Amino acid sequence: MGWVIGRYARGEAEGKPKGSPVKIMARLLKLVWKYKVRVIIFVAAAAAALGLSVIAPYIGKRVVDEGIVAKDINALTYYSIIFMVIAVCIWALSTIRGYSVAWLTQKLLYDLRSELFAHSMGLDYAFFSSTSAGQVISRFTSDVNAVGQTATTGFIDAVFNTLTIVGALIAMLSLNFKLTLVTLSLVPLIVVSVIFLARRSYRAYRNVRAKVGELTTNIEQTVSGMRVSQSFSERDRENLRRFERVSYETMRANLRATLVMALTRPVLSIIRAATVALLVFYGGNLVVSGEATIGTLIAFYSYVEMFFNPVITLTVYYNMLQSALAAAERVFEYLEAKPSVKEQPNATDLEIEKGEIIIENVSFSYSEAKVFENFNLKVKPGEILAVVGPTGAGKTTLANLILRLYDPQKGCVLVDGVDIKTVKLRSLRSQMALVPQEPVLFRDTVLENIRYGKPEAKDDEIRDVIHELGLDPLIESLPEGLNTMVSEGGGNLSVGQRQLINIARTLLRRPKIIILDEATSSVDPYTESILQEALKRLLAGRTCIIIAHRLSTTFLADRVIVLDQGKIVEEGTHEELLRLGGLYAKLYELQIGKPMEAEMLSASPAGTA
Amino acid sequence: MASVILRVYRYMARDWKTLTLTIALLLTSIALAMMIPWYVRDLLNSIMVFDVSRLLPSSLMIVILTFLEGVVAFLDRYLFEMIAQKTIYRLRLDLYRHLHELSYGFYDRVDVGEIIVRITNDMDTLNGFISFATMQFLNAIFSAVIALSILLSLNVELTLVAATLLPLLILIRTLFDRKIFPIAEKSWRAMSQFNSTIQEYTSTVKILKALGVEDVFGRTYRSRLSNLYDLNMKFERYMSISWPAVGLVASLIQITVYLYGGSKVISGALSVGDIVAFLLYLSMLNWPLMGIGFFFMNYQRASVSASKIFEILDREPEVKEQPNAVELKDARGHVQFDNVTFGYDQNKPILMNLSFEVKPGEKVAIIGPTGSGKSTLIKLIPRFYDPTSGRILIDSVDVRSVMVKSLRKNVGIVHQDVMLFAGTIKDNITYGKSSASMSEIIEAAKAAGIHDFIASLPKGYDTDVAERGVTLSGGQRQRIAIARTLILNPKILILDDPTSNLDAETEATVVEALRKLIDGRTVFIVTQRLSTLKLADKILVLDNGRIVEEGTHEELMKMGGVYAKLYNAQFAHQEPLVGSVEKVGLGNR
Repeated sequence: MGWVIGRYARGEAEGKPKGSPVKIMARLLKLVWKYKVRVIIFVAAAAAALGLSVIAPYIGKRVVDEGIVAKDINALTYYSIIFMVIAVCIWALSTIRGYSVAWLTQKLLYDLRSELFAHSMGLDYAFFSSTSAGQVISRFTSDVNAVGQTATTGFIDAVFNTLTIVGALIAMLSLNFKLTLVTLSLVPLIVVSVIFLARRSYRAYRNVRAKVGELTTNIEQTVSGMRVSQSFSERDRENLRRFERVSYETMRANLRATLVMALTRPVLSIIRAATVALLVFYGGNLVVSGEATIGTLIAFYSYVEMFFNPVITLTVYYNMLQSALAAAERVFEYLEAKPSVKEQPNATDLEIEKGEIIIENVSFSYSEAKVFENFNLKVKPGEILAVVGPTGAGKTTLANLILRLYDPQKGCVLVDGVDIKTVKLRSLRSQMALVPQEPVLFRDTVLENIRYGKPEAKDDEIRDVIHELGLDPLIESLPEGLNTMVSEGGGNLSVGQRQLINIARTLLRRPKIIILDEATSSVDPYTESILQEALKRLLAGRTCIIIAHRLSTTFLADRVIVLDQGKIVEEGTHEELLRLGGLYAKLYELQIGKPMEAEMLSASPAGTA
Repeated sequence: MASVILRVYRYMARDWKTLTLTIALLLTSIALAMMIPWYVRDLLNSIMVFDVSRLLPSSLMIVILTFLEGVVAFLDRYLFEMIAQKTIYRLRLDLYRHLHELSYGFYDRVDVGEIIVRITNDMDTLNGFISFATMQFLNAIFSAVIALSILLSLNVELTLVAATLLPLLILIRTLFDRKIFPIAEKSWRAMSQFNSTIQEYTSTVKILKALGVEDVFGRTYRSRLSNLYDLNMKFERYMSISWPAVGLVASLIQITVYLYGGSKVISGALSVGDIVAFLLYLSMLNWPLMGIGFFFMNYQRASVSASKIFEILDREPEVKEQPNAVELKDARGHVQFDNVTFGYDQNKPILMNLSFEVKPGEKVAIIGPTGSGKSTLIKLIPRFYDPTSGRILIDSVDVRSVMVKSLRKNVGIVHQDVMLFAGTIKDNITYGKSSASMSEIIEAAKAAGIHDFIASLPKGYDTDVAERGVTLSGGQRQRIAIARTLILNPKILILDDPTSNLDAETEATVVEALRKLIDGRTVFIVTQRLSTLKLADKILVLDNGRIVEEGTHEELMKMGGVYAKLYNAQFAHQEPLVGSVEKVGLGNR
């Protein structure tokens, strides 16, 4: 199915961007540029602050030379006051600068996350089933975070560091050309050594990330399975050992990375020292020979600082940039993913009146696996059709095709004679409903969970539906009735209570077509009978396709088809198929028990299915 | 707040020897760094008097000193990182161990995602804080102290004048700290909530799309996102004001010295060389001040992370082992419930005054409507929860006085929701007994009715189970879980609806196998399948947390009560089951 995003399913490590880094950076910057005003304010504030901090040592030089050395108290006071004013301005401007950057970063994060979600809404189900949840989650969280910092703070810092270097250069040149040359003489050495070290440390940190990934997986497994591991007490020791090992390895990887990073310090120190020494040595001679003033020398001393730090920061930034751009690339790829199930431009609304479904000559396969070939099926309006068959026969795929979660490669699906590809997705889906095997639950109250079936529904409407389905006893069994909060994954509800939400949610929509993927977990007979009754009421008068696993609902069906490897092998009513004595009969027998012998079972203790 | 960080530091204290070394190295590097300006001052003074003879030696000294300083600093950094890493390592292990002790009740309520965040992200934040920020802080403090001492030795008066502004810095810090901490915490929560929202999205996306109600979820998403944004912004707002304030104070100090010192020079009380040297050393204060500011910026987030971690470490497990707990040896499997009352919420009891006795080797089936307390009852036996009142006895010993590990070795439980782990099928079956032999594994698999299936796989027992058992069918997962418990050969076996996920054919196989296996053991089965009920010697009918009927299948049928009615109702299967619940008279509150 040729997905651009298919690569994600394989799970790639962060690393270098595949495309042009410049293009990616440019695209990121465009996103930030949306907020021109803020950017300009920021740039202005930062430039001003920068300019002032470049000037500050200048003023300091004047204080020393013209105020102190020259013993002129007026000059001293004058320049001191200017210095103070500059300091206060720098503070104010830095605040504005810091705030603007933070604002831009947060805004960028917000925008990216909004867009990711908005785009997700347009993606089809096929995308999500082929992309691991973990990948999707990292797009929204860690990838966006990585981008956020680098694109705004990082980039801007980089620009300003560059400007600082330029500014310091200009200041130095204007003071004394020869001294400037001396100061710059060792810069190439710095650049070379920093690049070398940065590359090694980057590699080392990649190892760290891999280890941390291992650690996270280990923990995820253990914590989610904590209840099980507590049942096996011997296991604790084993788990602890494993965790210790991974933790230890993580630690070592971190240390190795630090080693490289820390080496930067002595290397840069020497170069810096050499520069200072040269400066002082050479500069001293100049002062002696009268070519420079002592104030100049002192000023140069601080400009050296102003020069070195940005160089180092820029190199570090360069490394961060790599992985950040890789993250950005992933985010952009996600935003460019196209769904294969798309609404056609001239799609129309469809008012389903009869609810007739025709599957015409459909061929469908998931990437390599072929499910259907020239498959045909007709479902009459209002018919309840049960689909039975072994795993992989195509039952779920059938449902997916009818709901238009996937499009067939060949052939079409017609509802009331209309090809569903030509219908607006919203229109189609609002009249259909899927009752999944495992109820899907949200972290909200039971009431809100049910309301997902029809968001505009009022509370009373929901209560009516529950009553109509006869599900009141199940509501009463909930600790706080409809206002009970459903915890993660519905863990605090029983299977029956979860099914209640499933069924009520569906009826609330009053759909014309229902696809019921029969639940595989059974409940106690009391709850079972309530649910069965509710299902009956739900399905009445609607076209329904029941994907039967447990065969406990097939007796509700008007017709049963037995699928095997994408073909209908048996078809008929429940009784007809039983009499046929084929695949269906065999499955049914095993599940329910031979109807004739039900009473006999109650007499003997050794009965089996 | 401060105490939380101190606790973290206490973990570091275990490496006190290395710590002392790092401090020694730190002081050395600072001393070396400080010496450089001496030489610069020396040089400048000689320049002032036009004496060039000192230029070369002084310059050389500067290079050598800086080199030494770099090397010492490197060693220092590395050692410090080592301490930090060890600290995090210890903290992680403690957290992990503690998680193992926390009981079921904890895991019922807490969000798995939040725990993971603590072990990964928060540890990471702390890591960065301990290694980098703390080291910087120490460096800054020492540098500041040394710089101040040198300044004092140069000129006491000037130093005092310069130092008058330092209290101002401290004041600013304290004021902001108080405001920022609660905000930092709220933004942590917002991030955590946002993360779980994304997780929720990926797990519910199919139904959202199928029902076309994605925009409803979108509303939730957007509000969480906005919340995150708002809180982060608030935090940043405070940060952006306080961070540059440090630089301002540094500048103000400089100006004070300019004015005061300058006037002294002018009046002749100080030499230019002296003031220049002073100013040079004063500029050495700049960096430490920044360092201190930087430290406090990180301090906020680190405090929040640390407090989240300690939140878990400080939590008391609900089910605690008694100090003089005994081992349960040669368990006979006699189980008694003596007037047991229990509720997840103490005020809403699920089980009420439950009493019954199960003799060794007896098989008990437990049935009842949803919410009657079946699953809860069996969870009390291996002590996943403790009863609110009453007691549970195994071989006449209160389970609370038995060592938890020993208890769980003797009580095997197969849960309703199956969880398999990453690894091979063999790994999973031997989860609780890694020393199991292949024949033991096969025996357990046969008993669970899954051996034939496993044998049919190309890699057999070495087939990898995808995380959380995704590639296997529900029934297959359940049978592996059953094998996993069976291999322990427990005297008391608890099966929580073991056949609920199985189709008829498999259920039959499993029931047959179970029949053989439960021989000689005390077994509790929660079930509603007739075929499984038949395995039991005794049936307990539970309703509303009480036992309403008790007896063998025949006795209960003869009684013609609740059980009998239900039994018949279940087998009039082909007809609609309208009103069967009312008929049976159960499930009413």
